[in-house]
Amino acid sequence: MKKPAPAAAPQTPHTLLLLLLLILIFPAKAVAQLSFSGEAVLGVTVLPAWPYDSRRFDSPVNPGGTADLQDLSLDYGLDARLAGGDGKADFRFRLIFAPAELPQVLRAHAGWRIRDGFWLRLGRQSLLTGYGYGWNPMDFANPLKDPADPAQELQGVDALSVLASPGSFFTMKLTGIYRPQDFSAGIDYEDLQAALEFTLALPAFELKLTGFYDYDEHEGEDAYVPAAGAGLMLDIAGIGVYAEAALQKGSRIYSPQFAVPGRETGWLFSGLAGLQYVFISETSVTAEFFFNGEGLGRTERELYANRLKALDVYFPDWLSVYRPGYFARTYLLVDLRQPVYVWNLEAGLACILSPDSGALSVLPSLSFDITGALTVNLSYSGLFSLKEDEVDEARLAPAPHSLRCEARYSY
Amino acid sequence: MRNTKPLALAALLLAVLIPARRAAADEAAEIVARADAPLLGSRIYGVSTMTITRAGKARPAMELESYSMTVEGRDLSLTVYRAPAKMKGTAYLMIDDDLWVRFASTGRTRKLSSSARKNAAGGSDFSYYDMGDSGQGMAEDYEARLEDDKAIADGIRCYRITMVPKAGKEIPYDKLTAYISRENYRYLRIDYTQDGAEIKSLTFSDYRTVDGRDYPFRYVMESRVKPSSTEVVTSLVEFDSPRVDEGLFTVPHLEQIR
Repeated sequence: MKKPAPAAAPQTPHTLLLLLLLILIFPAKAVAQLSFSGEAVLGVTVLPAWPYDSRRFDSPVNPGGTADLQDLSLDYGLDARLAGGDGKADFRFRLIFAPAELPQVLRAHAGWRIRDGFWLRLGRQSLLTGYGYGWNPMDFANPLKDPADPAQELQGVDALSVLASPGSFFTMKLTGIYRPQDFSAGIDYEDLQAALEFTLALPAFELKLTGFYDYDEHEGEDAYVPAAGAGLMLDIAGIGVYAEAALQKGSRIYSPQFAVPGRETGWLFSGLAGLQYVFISETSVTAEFFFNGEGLGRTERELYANRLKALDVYFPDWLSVYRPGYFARTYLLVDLRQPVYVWNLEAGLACILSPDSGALSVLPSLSFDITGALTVNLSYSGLFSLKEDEVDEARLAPAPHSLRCEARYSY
Repeated sequence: MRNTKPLALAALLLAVLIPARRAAADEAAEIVARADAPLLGSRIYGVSTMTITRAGKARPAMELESYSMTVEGRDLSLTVYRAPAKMKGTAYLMIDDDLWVRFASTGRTRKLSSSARKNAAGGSDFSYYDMGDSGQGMAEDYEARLEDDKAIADGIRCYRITMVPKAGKEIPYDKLTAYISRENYRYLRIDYTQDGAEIKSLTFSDYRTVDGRDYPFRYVMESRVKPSSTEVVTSLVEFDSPRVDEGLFTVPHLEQIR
């Protein structure tokens, strides 16, 4: 099911402290050039379910209706962005306000251009990397993006990044990441991680190498694992051809092989291959194949469903394994976009098929640009099971179908 | 005895025609070079307002900043949207045939395939390729041929010159037909042909003198295949601008744009 909005992550006190710190240390000159912008969002989501009874949203991942889904729900929120900068230094805050939730700080970082080709960035920032549209297996530090909504901006990572671009062909980024369990209790070295990204950009060819290091006293104790990745993008006769590969020591998700939630600790491989092309009619096509080394095979999926059935209480650790687009081993994505300028709209159709589990997501959408500032989006998200006797995303989903109408006003 | 008359005639024709064609090409190249001259620069900075009109209805105006330069034979250009709020921070970086787009809505930068260069930039009638002009002029990329030296465009006597992409240049158009005024070598109009059909037409106006150059402050791209046109009005242009440096034309810089 397509989520209407990102769930707000719990805000620890260190977030507010970090914001304050950034404001205090930021050059006054850059603050003077402050700009404020954002979006106000109003959305309605309809979850058609049949048969219409009190258990219509019950499923193994929503036991007893724990998620409290409604047939029709209204949501609204405000996305506020503050940015400043003078060419040598910049800062950015981005918050999402939603009713009955704490503000979610997506970005809160300051950056300095130390000298030509040398930047420093401190604070909550996006570390997203890779070439994939729906998935980025070579991206280890960021939250996983949703292939059903890959443009959705995710909460950043608290980090210090040093970026060096000594020539126009090479870029290297070294990042120290801080993920505290509890800021007030002090910093444990186990909360620190390191990431490295190297990019070589040549005409019609780009190569990226990534590395990630996380030390855990006990293997598999958290959702971060040492990993290395590589990706490339080529332009062949106007077609963008790209691939990513990743090797990681252990899995970030729980394995149903263990009776209590635990993670695989062996080496895992994931990979992605894709292409993008824009026709003269301006129809853009993106097609990708994703092999998810952390996904569950048929036996594991059945085992997982049995583990869920055996639970009679809400158990978030096990529920976190269920993630459409990452649940099975293999996925195919085809995304088509067509702007229709005369009507100021863009039509889109994305299909995500898991050949091994047989789950199919169909995601048509229409986006109307009403005034240049006001956009209305209409979308449907449907999950279907194409194989009998398979445990897939569609069979586990509490609401496999959803309709959404959303108005966005940019200010 | 063999009749050598046809051969001799052909040789005579070639001897006359080839130099004539060469002379026409040389003259056309000279005209294009003179028309290009005021638009050329090593570091160009510009601020402009772009208004798209669809089916007779104008969309909200967009403000753009553009930077361009050439370094070691590589054409570099960067276009940044400053308004309206929805587009603010959207940017296109082009380095030769490579194109990166930064989407303001998500803050993400994505490298696009070169097939995207021929498509509309920001929904306008300008393609990404058009937006990526690095200030090197038409003579850099096209072979010119003088078709008519007594043509009339907008009531002005002008040269009609056909330009076809030079071998090895990856240009999304088959042919350009430029109308250049005879009196002062100003570009008046350029018609764009793609896949054998004329798809759009660019007209130049409001020429003013900047740093001793005769520069068009208004240009309009009108589509021939849909009811759409895009007007660009320049409010500021700087040649050899200190605001333009090589560090701007990098993906890390693109990610810093606010």
